[in-house]
Amino acid sequence: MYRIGVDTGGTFTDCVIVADDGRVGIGKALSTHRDLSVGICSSIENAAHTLGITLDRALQDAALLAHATTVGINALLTGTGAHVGLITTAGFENTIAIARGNKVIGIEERFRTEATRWQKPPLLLPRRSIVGVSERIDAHGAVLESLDDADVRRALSVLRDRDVQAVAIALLWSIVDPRHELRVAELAAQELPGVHVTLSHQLAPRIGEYERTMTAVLNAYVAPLVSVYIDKLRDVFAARGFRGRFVVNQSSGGVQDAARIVHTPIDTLNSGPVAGVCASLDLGRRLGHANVVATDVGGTSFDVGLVADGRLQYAQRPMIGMYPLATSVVDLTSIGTGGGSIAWLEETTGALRVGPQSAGADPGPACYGRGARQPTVTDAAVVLGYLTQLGGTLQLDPAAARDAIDTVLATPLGVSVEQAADDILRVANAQMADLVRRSTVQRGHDPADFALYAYGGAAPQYAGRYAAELGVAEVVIPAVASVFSAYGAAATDLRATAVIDVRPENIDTACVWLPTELDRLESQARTQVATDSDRASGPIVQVERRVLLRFARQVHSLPIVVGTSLGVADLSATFRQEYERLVGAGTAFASAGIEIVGISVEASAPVVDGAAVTRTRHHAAPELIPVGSRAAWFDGAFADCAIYDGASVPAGSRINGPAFVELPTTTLVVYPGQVAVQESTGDIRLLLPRSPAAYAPPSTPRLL
Amino acid sequence: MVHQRSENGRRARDAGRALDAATFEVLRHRLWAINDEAAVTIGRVSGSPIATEGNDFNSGLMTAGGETVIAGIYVLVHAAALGRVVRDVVENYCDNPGINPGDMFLTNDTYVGAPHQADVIVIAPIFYDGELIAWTGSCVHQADVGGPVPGSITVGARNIYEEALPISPIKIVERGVMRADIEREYLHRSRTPELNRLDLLGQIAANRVQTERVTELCTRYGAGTIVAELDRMIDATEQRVRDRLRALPDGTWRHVGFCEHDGVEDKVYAIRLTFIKQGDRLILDFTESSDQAPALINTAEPTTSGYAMAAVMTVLGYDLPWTPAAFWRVMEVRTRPGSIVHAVMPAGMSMGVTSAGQEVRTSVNVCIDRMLDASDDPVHRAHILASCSSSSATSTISGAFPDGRVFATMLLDGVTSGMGARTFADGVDTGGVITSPAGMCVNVEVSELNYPMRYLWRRERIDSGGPGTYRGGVGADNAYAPHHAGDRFGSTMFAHGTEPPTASGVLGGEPGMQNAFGIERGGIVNKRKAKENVDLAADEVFHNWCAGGGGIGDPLDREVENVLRDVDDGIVSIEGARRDYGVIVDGDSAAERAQRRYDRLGGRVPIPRLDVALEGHRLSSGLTVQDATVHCRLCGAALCAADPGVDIKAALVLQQSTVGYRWPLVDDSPGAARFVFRRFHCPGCATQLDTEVNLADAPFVQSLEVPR
Repeated sequence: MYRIGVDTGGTFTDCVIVADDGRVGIGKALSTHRDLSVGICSSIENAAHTLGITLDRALQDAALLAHATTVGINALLTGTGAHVGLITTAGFENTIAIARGNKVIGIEERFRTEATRWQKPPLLLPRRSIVGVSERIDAHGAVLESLDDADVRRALSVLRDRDVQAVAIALLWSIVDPRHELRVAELAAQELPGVHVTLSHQLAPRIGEYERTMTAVLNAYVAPLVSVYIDKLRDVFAARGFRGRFVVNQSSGGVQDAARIVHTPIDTLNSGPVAGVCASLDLGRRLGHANVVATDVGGTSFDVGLVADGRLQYAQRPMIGMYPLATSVVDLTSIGTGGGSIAWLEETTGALRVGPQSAGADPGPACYGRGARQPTVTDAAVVLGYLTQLGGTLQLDPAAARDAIDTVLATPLGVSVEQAADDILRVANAQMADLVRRSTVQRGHDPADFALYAYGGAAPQYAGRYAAELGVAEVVIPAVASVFSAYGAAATDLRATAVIDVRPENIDTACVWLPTELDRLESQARTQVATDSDRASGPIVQVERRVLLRFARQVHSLPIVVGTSLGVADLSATFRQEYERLVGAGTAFASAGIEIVGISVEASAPVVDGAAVTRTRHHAAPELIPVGSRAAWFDGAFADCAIYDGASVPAGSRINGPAFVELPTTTLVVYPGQVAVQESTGDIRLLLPRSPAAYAPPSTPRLL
Repeated sequence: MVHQRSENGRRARDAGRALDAATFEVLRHRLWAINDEAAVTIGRVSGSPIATEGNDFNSGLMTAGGETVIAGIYVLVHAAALGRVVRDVVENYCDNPGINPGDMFLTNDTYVGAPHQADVIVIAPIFYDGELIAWTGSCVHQADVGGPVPGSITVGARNIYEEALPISPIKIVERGVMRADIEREYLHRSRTPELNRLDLLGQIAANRVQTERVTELCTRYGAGTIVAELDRMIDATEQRVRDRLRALPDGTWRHVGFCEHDGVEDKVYAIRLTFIKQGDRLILDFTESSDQAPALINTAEPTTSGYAMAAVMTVLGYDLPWTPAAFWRVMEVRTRPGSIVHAVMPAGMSMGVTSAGQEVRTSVNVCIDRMLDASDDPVHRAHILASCSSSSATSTISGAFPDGRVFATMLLDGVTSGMGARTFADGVDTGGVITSPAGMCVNVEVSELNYPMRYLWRRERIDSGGPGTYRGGVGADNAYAPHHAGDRFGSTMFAHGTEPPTASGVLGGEPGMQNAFGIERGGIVNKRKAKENVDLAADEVFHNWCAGGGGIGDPLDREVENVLRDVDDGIVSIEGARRDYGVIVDGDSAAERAQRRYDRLGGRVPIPRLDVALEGHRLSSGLTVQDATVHCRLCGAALCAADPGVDIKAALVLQQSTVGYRWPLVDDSPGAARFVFRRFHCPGCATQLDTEVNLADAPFVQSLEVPR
C-alpha cells in the first residue's frame, strides 16, 4: 500500500509516495495551469518510477492521496473567483466595503508609506450583489425584527438576476441565534437551486460582523472553483483505479476529506505552506523535537511556522493579504526575502538593501546567464563558491554574478566583490533571523530552545547562517526537503476544529456550563474526522480542548489547553503561567478576574492506519569520501573546502565545516565550526556550537 | 521652533558615516523589528478597545536628545509627541528627580507634548554602561483620565482647570520598580482605573522589551555603533527629504481652515497657514491664526508642530523612510503664543487633536498639493492627495446598565470619513484620516456586546465624496440607539466641520460633505450642534455622519461612465449626478455639461481648450506664466499681469453659493450662513480652476502667489 502526497506550486507540482516498507519515491513535474490534473499525474508518475512502479499501480494500491492545492488562493490573487452574492442585515450592506476603515493593514510593504497607494481590500463582488434583508437579532439573542420570507425571496431574486454562482449569508448576531441565517439558506435552496451557499455562523462562529462576513464571502468566492476542481481530480484518479481516501490539506492544519472540504474551501487557501509546517510536526515527533521552527526559503519568500510543545500554533488575527479570516489558521509569517531577492544600494542612506523586489524565474538571478544585471542573493552564494549547480540543465554563470555584484555594489562601495557578496548574505540572513525572532520571541519563546528545520530550495544554503544568528543549536535538513509540503500532505492527520466565541464571562461561573459546551464542540469535531464507513472499528481520535482566556477587561486573549476535568483553580494557574511566559515575569495580576471569551476543540485521527515511516538512506557506501573540493569564501578569505555527494554519504557520517554537501537540487553549506551528521533516515542534522555563535556576523562592525 | 540636532548625534556622526552598508542595514531592520515588538506588547496587555481595536496608540525609539527615529504607522502624531516629552524631561529632570537606568516617566501634559489629555505617554531612558544612549516610549489613548465628564473630552469647559488636569512628567517607575504612590495617584483620577492600569502595564512592558533588545544590540555591536546608527538614519533621510524639496518649485501657498464652536460658544476660529518653500526648507507660518479658544479645541505648540510634521511626512514622504526627526529638521513652524494653534495657560485642549490639530494637518496637506501641482515633473504630481476631513465626528457614550454597572467609552465610528482624491483615482471610501494610517473602527457586534446600545445602520453615505474629476472617498453614516440601558445613556458629541466642509478639494475639485450629528425622534431628525452633551431617551436614535474626502479637478470633467457606476453602487444619487457632475442618468449629459459651462460664464459660450496645454512657467495644472502674464494653461486665455502680489482669483469668474447647497440639513442650521463656498472658473474655457470655503465677508484666500 502507498500514501501519496501532492503539492501543486506555481512552477512545480511535487509528489511524495511513501510505501509501507518505508521506501520513499519523490517526483516533480511542471505545473500545468490549464489543467492541473495533467501535471499532478506526471508528478505522481515520476515518483512512482523511482519506486519502480507505474502511475496506475501507484494509484490502484494507494490507501491515501493527500493534496495541497493552490486553486483557491490563485482565484483570490488573480480575481478569478465566482460571482458571489451576499445577503446581510439591512443597514449593514456596506460592512465589507467599509472594512472597519482599514486601508493599510496587510497592504504590500512598499505601499505602507505611500499614502496615494493606500486602498481598501478589493471588494470581491459588486455592491449591487450585496442585498440587505429586514431582520434583527440583538446581542442577547432576542429577535427585534423577524425575518420576512417574502423579503428574502425578493433579495434572492435580485441575486438570481445577477447570475450569482455562490451566495454568502451573514446576518448580525447569527452566532447567538442562527435561525434567520438558516431560514435564508432554506429559501436560497428553493430559489437558487444548485448554487453554493455559505452560512457565516457555521463557517466562522465568531463575534465581529466584519471578519465573519468577509470570511463567508471569501469562502463563497472560491467555492465553485475548488468544488469543480476537486470533482475533476476525483474522476481522474478514479478512472485510473484509485479506490483509497482522497483528502485535502487545510490552512488550519491536518487534512479533511475532499468531499467535505468543498463546503469550507476557504480552509484550502494556505494549504501548501501549512502542509510544510505539518510535515515539521510529523518529522519532529519522529526525531524527538517538540519545539521546531519550520523555515522555508524559496526563490521569492521566506516563511516561518512554529511547532511548540508538540503542537501547531494558530494565528491570533489571521489574514490573507488585506482580508481577515475568522477561522482557525496555522500561524505562518512571511517576508519577501529569498534566493531571487535583488540586492541594491539605497541612494543617499548608503544602505545595502535586499528585496523586496525579486528577479523571479525569468530572467532570474544574474548567474542564470539570461541577461539579468541586478545581483541577487543566489548570485552572492555563487560568487562566494557556495553554489555551483542548481540541478536540472541550468548552467550557472559565475562571471555574470560577479559582474552584477561588482557594478551595483562592490565598486560604488569600494569593497571587494567577495566582501559585497558576503554583505548581501549578511543582510538577507539578518532579515530571515528577524522574522524568526518575530515568530518566536514575540510569542514568548526563545529560539535557542527550538530545532530549526530548513526546507524549500534555498534553505540548505543559508540555514546554518541564520540559525547561528539565532543561537539555535540544531538544524535539520529533511531528506524530502525539496518536496516537503507534498510529504506533509501525506504524513498529516485528519483534523477538524470546532470553534466558538462566547460572551465574556468570569471563569468562576463559566466553569458550570463549560464542560457541556466543550462536549458539544467535541462531538461536532469528532463527527468531522470520523466518517461512517471506515470508522466502524473506531479510529484513534485524539482530542484537544482549548479555552480562550483573558484578564477581565483585557482585549487580547490566550488559548489554554485544558484536560477532561476542569477546575477553576487549575485553569487560573495555567493561564497566569502562560501569560507571564508571554508578557514577562510578574506581569500577571493577582487580583484581576479571568474571563473566558472562546472555546475550541480540535479532533485528529490518523487518515490510514499506521504511521508513515520513511527510509531513503541505503547503507551501501562504506566510507565518507569527498568527491572533490573547491575554494569558497568564509570569514574574510577563500579556503579550500571538501565537497560531498549527498547520495553517497554513509549514515552516521560527520562532516566538519567548512564543507559542501551536494543535494539533487541545491547545496548544503556546512559553515566553519558546524558539523553535518547524516542520519539513516536520509535527514541531515547540522550541529552548531552553542555559543558564542560560530558564524554569526562579526560582533564588531567593520569600519571603513 | 527649529529643531536642533542633538549633541549626542553630533558626536556620533563621524562614526555613523563610517558604518558599513550592510551593518547599517542589518541594524536598521533589527531596530524596526524591535519597535514593532514593543507595539505588539502594548496590544497584548492593553484593555482598551480604543488602543487595540482602533489602533489609537504608537510606540517609538528616540535619540538621547529626543529626536524620534523609529515609529509605528499607527498614530503619527503620537510618535512626534514622544520626542517632545523626552526633550522636556531631559531639560528639566537631569538633577532632580534625576534620570537613571530603569526609570520611566509618565505624562499626559498637552503643554509638554501629549496631543490631548486622554493620550498618556510613558517614556524610558536606555542606558548602556552608565551612559544615556537613547529613549523608548509609547502613547496610548485612554478611555478616561478624569475631569468633569466621562471620556475626558470636556465640552463646555472654560479653561484647562475644567478639563482633566494634565499630569506633568512624573517618575512612575524608579530604577525598575513602579512607584506605588504615583501609580495610585495616577489611577485614582480615572473612571476606568482597571483599563488604565492595564495600559500602563502594557506601556511599561513595551519599554522594557525595547530597552532590553537595544541593550543586547549594544553588547554585540557597541553602544557607539547603535548611537551612530540612529543618527545616520536621521541624517540620511534628512538628506533625501532635502533632495526632494530642492527638486520642487519654490513658492508661497496659503490655506485657511475653520473650526466652529469652542464648546462654550458657537464662535468661528480660523487656522491660517502661509506655506513657504525655499530651496531645501519649509517655513510653515501659522501666526495669523485666530486667538486661542477658552478650552477644548486648541493645540499647544508641540502638537501643532507634530501635526505639521506628520502631514509633511505622509504627503511628501512617499517612498522615503518615515523617520520623523528627518522631516522635522527641514521644517520651521512659526506660531503665535496665545493663538488657537499655540495655546497658553490656562487654555484647555481636551479635543485639540481633532480640532486645531487636524486643521493644521489639512492646511499643510493642501499647501503641499499646490506645491506638487506647480511641479513640471509628473512623478511629483502623481502624489497629490486631496485632503480628508479635519475632524472625526465622534461621540463618547456613558451611563449605566440596568444592574447599576457604569460604562464609558469613546466610539470610534468617526474614523470612517472619506480620504481625498488622487490624480489617477478616486479617494478611498471610508478610509479615514491620513495621519492615523492604521486607525480602525470597532465592529458593531463588539460595541453591542460591551455597551447597552444597538446600531440601526453603518453604511456608506451617498453623495458625501467631494465632487471632482476624481471624487473624494465617501464617509460613513452610523445610527445607534440605547438598548437595555439603565437610567441614563449620555452622549457627548464633538466635531467641527459641521457647517464649513473641511476636507478641501484641490485643482478645482470640491470639498467633501460635512460631518454632522443628529437626534431622531418620531421619524424627525434634528441636527445638533458641533459640540453638545445630551441624554438619549430609549426611543431616540443618534445619527453620526462622517465627512467625505476632497475631490480633484473640475467635476464636469469626470468620465460620465464613472458617475454612472457610482450611481449604480449607491455612492452618488441620481440627483447628485446631475447637480455635482452634470450627468443625467438616461439623458444627454453632454448637453447638460455644455449648458453648465455656459452658465458658469454668465451666459457666454466658452472658448475651446487647446490641444496641448500652454507652456511657460507652471503655477498649477490650470495656470501658467508666459510673457509676464498669467494664462489659463488649458485654453490659453490671458488672465492678469504676473506681478507678485496679484490677486489671481480676482481674474477668474466667481460663482458663490452656500456651504450647504448639497445638503439642506446644513443650510438649515443657523451658523452655516457665516460661511460661503466659492468656485473660480476660467473666463475663457469655463474650467473650474480653484475652490475655497471662507467666511462670507472675507476676501479671497491667496492660495498661490506669482513668484518673484
